[in-house]
Amino acid sequence: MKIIDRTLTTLDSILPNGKLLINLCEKLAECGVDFIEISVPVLLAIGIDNLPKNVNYILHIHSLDEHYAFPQLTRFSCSCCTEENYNQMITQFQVNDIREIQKLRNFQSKNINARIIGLDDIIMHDYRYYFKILQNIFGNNLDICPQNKYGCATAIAVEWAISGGKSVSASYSGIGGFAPLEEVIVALRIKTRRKPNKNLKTLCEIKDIYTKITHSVIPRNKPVLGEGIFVVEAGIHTDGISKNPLTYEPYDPTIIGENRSIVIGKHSGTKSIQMKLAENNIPTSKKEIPSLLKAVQKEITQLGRSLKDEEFLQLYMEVKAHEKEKISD
Amino acid sequence: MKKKKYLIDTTLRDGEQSPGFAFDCSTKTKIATELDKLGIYQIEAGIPAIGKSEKESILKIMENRKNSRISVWNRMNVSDIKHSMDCMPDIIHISAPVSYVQIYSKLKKNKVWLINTLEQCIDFAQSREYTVSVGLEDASRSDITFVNTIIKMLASYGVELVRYADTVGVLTPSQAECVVKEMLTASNISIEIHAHNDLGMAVANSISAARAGVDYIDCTLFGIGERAGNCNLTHFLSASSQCFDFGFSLSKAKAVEQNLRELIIGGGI
Repeated sequence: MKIIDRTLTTLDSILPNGKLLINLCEKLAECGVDFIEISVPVLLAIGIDNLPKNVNYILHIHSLDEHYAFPQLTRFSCSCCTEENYNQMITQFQVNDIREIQKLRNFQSKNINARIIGLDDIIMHDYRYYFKILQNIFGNNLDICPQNKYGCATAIAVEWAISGGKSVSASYSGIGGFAPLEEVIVALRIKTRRKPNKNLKTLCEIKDIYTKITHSVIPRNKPVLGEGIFVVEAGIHTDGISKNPLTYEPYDPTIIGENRSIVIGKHSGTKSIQMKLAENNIPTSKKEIPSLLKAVQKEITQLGRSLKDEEFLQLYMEVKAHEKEKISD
Repeated sequence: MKKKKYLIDTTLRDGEQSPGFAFDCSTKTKIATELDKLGIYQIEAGIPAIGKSEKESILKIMENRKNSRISVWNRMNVSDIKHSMDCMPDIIHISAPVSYVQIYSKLKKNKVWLINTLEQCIDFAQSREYTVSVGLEDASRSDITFVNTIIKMLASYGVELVRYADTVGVLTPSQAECVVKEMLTASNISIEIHAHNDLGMAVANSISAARAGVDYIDCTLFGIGERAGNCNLTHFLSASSQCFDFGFSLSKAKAVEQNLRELIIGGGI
């Protein structure tokens, strides 16, 4: 399964400096992307001679003639070329309503490399049937670039791979309304063992470059990238993870260069408290835990949120001091 | 004609379980009241075993509700269920971990123990005339034959609704379709899909399960929930309203979400 990253076709309106773009290309190449697709403005900002060499590029152009201006590149994508035998050209078709798929039969006898963009609502239908129709029309020369209007683009990309699709397009964090690249890469790793030994730590390293370029904030619960996705609070989950992390984690966070952590909150129990204290190298006896847990729950109810580490430790000191006082009384 | 489906909102249980969230009684009651007005079929109101303040919140929710059925979440033990009974909910939901990693690594028990304990819990709740639903925790990583054994047992106890939980969010739409069809072949018990968004597929998995025959779908406001969250209510409605009838419109659900935005997520997630 080939993955084409389209992030660098979506940045024309916020074009950053070439150095950041080069850095982004290098990192994308490291995380298992087979092709990086770039726009002409991005290419010009980087400078064609400065393109990192360890990856293949596709240049997105707006007219067929434009490709003559870039003889150093060998692959192009375009919405306007339906001519046959342009082996280096990917021809794009926008399909936002699955009924439009039937109209593509006109291209069945043509030898073109096609990309279907859209298919937003295909999950609501018999998607495997429609995938088959598309495969019959375009054979193996077909790239699917699902759009994310209904939050189903990753699922469409994964199902396309499972159905025998050979190429899928995505973009980092789903910028431009495409399938989020990081979700597609991790899902294909888990579900189809695509590139099982690839180092995916760069997926999270790209976050800094991406936020610098786009000035956007990645939500804490964003799949794969969110900083809160490996934070555990609930007692039942902390207990499970302490016995075997697999119980409540879909994959080992270190695969993507992250670590799990515990926060103390409304749903924390004895085990969470014990683990949090151990994390801070504080030895405890079982006797201390119930009064600390009680104090923690009282504080959380008042604050209406989980405790920061320093708040928890402060509370621990207070409870311990109080217990000492009781003993000396 | 659109097929009727039922939404179960778990913002107040799985949503709140997301690190950082801690709703007080007034917040929980306000959220539940809005969901009730919207016409959500069932509201999973919380976990009574957490303690006194949680029980007070659930009692208040019970007092205020007009339309929705109120359920409460329990681990598979009688002590939790006794706490739940203090809240007099409509439904006592018992969660049974069914994957081998959960049974052998977390519980450190075996399948026989699991079935016996689950039977005892159902028996205890039903003997006090409570309606019981059962959640198959981590079902998406479990053996489908074992799942079918359990749902046949549940059917024999008269349990009407069983939750298929994709606890760590690793399901795909084709897998969801496949397991739902297998379960519906094994028993005519009603199934509820509970999807997590770890791989960004919670909405698609819920749609696929609904298309395959699931009638009950779990969602949360803003998609909040453990790790990457649960199936986002308005995203799910947006994608599926063209095919299913939930008893209320997407625009009404969006208005409710808007009303509760500040209360639930403030400036953002």
